Amino acid sequence: MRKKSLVYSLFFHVGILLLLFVLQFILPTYHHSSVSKIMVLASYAVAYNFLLGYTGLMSLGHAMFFAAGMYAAGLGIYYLELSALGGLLFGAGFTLVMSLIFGLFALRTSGVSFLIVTLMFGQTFYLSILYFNEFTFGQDGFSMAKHLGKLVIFNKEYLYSNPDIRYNFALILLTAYLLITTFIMFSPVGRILIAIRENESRTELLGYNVFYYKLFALVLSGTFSGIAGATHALLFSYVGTTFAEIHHSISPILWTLLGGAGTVIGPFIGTGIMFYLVDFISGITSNYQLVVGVVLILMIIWFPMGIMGTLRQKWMKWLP
Amino acid sequence: MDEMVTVELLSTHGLTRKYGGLVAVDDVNFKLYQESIHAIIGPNGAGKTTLVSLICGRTTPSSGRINFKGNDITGLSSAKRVQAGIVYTFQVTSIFSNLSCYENIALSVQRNLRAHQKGTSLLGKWRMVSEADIELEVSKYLLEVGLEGVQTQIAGTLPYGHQKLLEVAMSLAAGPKLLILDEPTQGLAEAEIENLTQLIQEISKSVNVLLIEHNMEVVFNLAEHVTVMDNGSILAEGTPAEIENNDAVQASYLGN
Repeated sequence: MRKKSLVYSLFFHVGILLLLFVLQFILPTYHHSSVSKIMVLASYAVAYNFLLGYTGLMSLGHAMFFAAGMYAAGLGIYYLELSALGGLLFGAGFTLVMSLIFGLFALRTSGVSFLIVTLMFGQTFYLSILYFNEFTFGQDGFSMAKHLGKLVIFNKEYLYSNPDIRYNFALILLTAYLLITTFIMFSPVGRILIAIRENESRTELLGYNVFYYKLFALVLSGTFSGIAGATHALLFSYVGTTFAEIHHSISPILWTLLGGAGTVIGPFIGTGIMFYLVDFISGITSNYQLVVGVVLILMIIWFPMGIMGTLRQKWMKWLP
Repeated sequence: MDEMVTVELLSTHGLTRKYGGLVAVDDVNFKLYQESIHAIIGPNGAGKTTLVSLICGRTTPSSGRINFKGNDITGLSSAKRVQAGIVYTFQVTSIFSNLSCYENIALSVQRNLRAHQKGTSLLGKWRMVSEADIELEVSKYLLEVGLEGVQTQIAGTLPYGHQKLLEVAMSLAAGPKLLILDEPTQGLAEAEIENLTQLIQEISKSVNVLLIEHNMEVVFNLAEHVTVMDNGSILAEGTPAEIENNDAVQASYLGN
């Protein structure tokens, strides 16, 4: 039963990833670049969903992790003259430690208190970036273009911002996140995380130390968000405070809920739809957030489980 | 000297729990012996559920100690106590209603299998339990409680009586040394009570059972030891026959 679901879902997800791979040869330049961006942001949403959709913890401060990865990589490359990949690893390591320390504090709370604590930490981090503006370049952010080396593949040099490098780098990131999430959800740990989401006290009384598993989920989610942020810095050559703002914490919630919380592919679908929706509406009116709001309200009334959640309930019961 | 190993499974010493001015459990010295069904009875608000909550670690005591198999477990978390073998089954059914029955039991099986997996190397310790082994165990426990064939059904869609059985199966799958059943027959129909009584009898052959129960027929059918609680204290203890003839118990509880 479980094995069959695993096989089905691997085929499904690998199919979508292959489709994305092939799309890069077909898409016109504009959409090529949009899809690259969507894949990086969707990776962030997949990481976010790991905490919200599978473990049942809603964070309002995830921009902190994304921005921490982004700034650690960016500042590491800027000041310490790390290579691009060195910066990426530095960003990953930094957010790993950061989310571990954050988790030890924040996970003493749950529910609404957890929401507030994450929000406060997130805002503190954002304001700290502004406060230490001599070091972080404050509101302006900074461009990485001059500091990034070149990526050498088969003795050929490429810029990180090269559209093809960008597309495939983003695709590799998304692929890794989707596959890792799928495998964790089919592993014993995934079963425990879902159990915590469904009924925490019962899980504890079956002999599981719930705190450790929540900490694991938070650290994984935080670190993956950080790596997504670091990747964003490399591929788009820019580090800035907009990625630490509250709206960047709320975005992954919307993407995840739209696509389907607790489904592996849902956050990607949600990110893609929302990206193009905003893109389309901002061409018509500057009040695009109004339209987005209406879409979300309708969505929650008719498909409270999100797109993939509804599909799973109706037809694709094997979907993880 | 070695009486703990031979007979005594669990004991509480001066166990007390206060809620503000209310003393829910008042200086209770409770003993539970191996290989028995032990029942706790008493009127509503006597402190029965608080006592077992203290025993399984859902509530922390205001003072006093708890010993299990000769070890002081007062400071252990509830998860650690489950690992030690104290498994609690909720008064109001607490299952994973949105998950399949299979997943409900598998969660419990998984931990127990892993705990018994003898890893010699670090790698052995980290090795995962195979799903095939889990499947076998799940079927075994579903069969034991008489719920064959419900694996794929969503637990919340089962009739209430079956949900209770599912919860018992989950608890059994956790590998208990002491199974605490908090009012298992509450809300069940006559025939279901009959069925559950037989099941508890069956379970007690291999697991010690601590039963909290309002249904006196069930208590007197099953229990070898009965503890009567009132106002947070132990009013009387003894065999069912002794309890039935105890004047104080008659007056406070069984009399009506």
